[in-house]
Amino acid sequence: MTMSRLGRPRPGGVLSRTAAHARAAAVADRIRVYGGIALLGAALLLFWEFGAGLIVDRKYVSRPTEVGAELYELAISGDLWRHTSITMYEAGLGYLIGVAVGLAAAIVLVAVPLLDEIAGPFIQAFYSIPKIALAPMFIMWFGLGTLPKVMLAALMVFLIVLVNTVAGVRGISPGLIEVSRVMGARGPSLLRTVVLPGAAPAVVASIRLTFSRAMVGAVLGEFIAATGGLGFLIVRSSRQFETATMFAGIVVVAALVMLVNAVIRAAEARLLPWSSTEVHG
Amino acid sequence: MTEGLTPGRDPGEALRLDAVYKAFVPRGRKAEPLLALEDVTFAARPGEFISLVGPSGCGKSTVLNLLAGLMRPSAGHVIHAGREVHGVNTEIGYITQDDNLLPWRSMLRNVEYGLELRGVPRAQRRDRAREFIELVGLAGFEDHYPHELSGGMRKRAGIVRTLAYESGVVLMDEPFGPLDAQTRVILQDELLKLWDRRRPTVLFVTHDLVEAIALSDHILTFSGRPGRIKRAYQVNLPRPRDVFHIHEQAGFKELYDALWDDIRAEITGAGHAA
Repeated sequence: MTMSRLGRPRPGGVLSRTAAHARAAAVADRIRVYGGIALLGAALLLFWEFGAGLIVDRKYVSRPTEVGAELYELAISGDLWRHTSITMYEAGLGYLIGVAVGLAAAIVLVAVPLLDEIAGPFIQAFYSIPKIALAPMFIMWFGLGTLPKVMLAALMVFLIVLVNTVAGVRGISPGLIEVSRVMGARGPSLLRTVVLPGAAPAVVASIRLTFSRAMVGAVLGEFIAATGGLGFLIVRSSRQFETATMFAGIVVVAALVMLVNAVIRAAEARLLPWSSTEVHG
Repeated sequence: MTEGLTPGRDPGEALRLDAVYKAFVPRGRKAEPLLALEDVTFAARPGEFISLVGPSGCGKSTVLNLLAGLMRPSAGHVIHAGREVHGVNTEIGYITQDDNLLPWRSMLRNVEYGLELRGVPRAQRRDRAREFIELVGLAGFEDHYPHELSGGMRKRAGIVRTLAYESGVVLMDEPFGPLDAQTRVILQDELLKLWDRRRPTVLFVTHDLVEAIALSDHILTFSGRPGRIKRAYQVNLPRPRDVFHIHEQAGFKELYDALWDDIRAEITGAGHAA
């Protein structure tokens, strides 16, 4: 072998060239992704605007410009605000109740493992009922007002928070708990320094993802019987073939869920900078 | 038994296992109880550094778990500082193979953790933690979370977290197991320097015979399951030790060969145990 070289680049040049290449590649990547998103979005909107009517009768699919105009109308008349506030009230209150009750129940089950084993089959049975199936019963019990929707939203949230919180605590490494106990953590200090932060990522992830479920509960309740709310707006306009209004309602529901999710996600990133976790549900 | 590992209940002993047996019932349908430790007896004087070596599954870690109070002996006595161990023993330090740092705490707050649980005031524990962090060259990484540190750095943080609250006895369960060979030797050197400050009693579980010789005053070899103490060796190499050149020391080779013969007999003769 030989180790004699034919030529030699400057080391500083190698570094700066590599850095420049990496930066350019990252920018190009970014452009491809965002460009792709914009293109696909534009293509879908254009197809909806001009193409969808060729396949299906236009009165069933409306078009983006009409939906936009309808949204504007609804906003001006105040209807949009009225329906949105009803749905947000139902979903928000149900969400808070579901999260609070789910967390409280989880703490009890974690503290008393025997209770967890006894309650297990009942929780699984309850888990396997499609909550939608309970909606008519809730209307029958609680009437046409907001109460059945709040209850339905809470129910959609409760079990998922419960199951994920228990799983989050169970998922903490036993070694971590043992070492902490030998160092002197026990009872409340073990709970505060190990159990709660250890379960937090799973709990927060389930709390974030269940807001959309609370919206499902509220909107579903409104589908069945209501006098206001976005679900009511969607169902009434679809029955009257006011397709643009129906889509306007759907767009608002989607936008609300995405908005709330973004807020919770931002809070999560600030509160739990060390971790991110998958959620089961 | 060699000097320092004397039988009899002596108030000067830091810890003692006396005729200790430990049986487990494994989970499973037709589970037969397994004997993990059989008639284990030894005692350590304050300041002794003792290594436990032996084949995998010989119950070395069980010895540490008994002293930590995470397990109870099936028979016999586990004594720390003259008292029988009952329940979790918070008077000792326990360093595991996994660094077991709290992922949600910065490195500094991890090092403070033991002091915090002992009620040391904030300013004081912060000073102490920084002093130890400085000692192992981690200054500048105080605000990093464990996942932002290298394996060697996490290990250093885990060790000083336990040494910072200065318990009289420190248990170490293959602490350098997952590290690369170079980092291992450097950490052995750092550990000896830290140990020399206050000289706690150390029980050190390892597979690495060179490591055991480089660090210890005494080495106990264990037989395969059920774990029994085969022999006790005294390491007569002078301190302070140069871990980087320990194999050049007079007496190293003889001790290494004797230990290896002992262990090899257990590994190759494991047929009757399995």
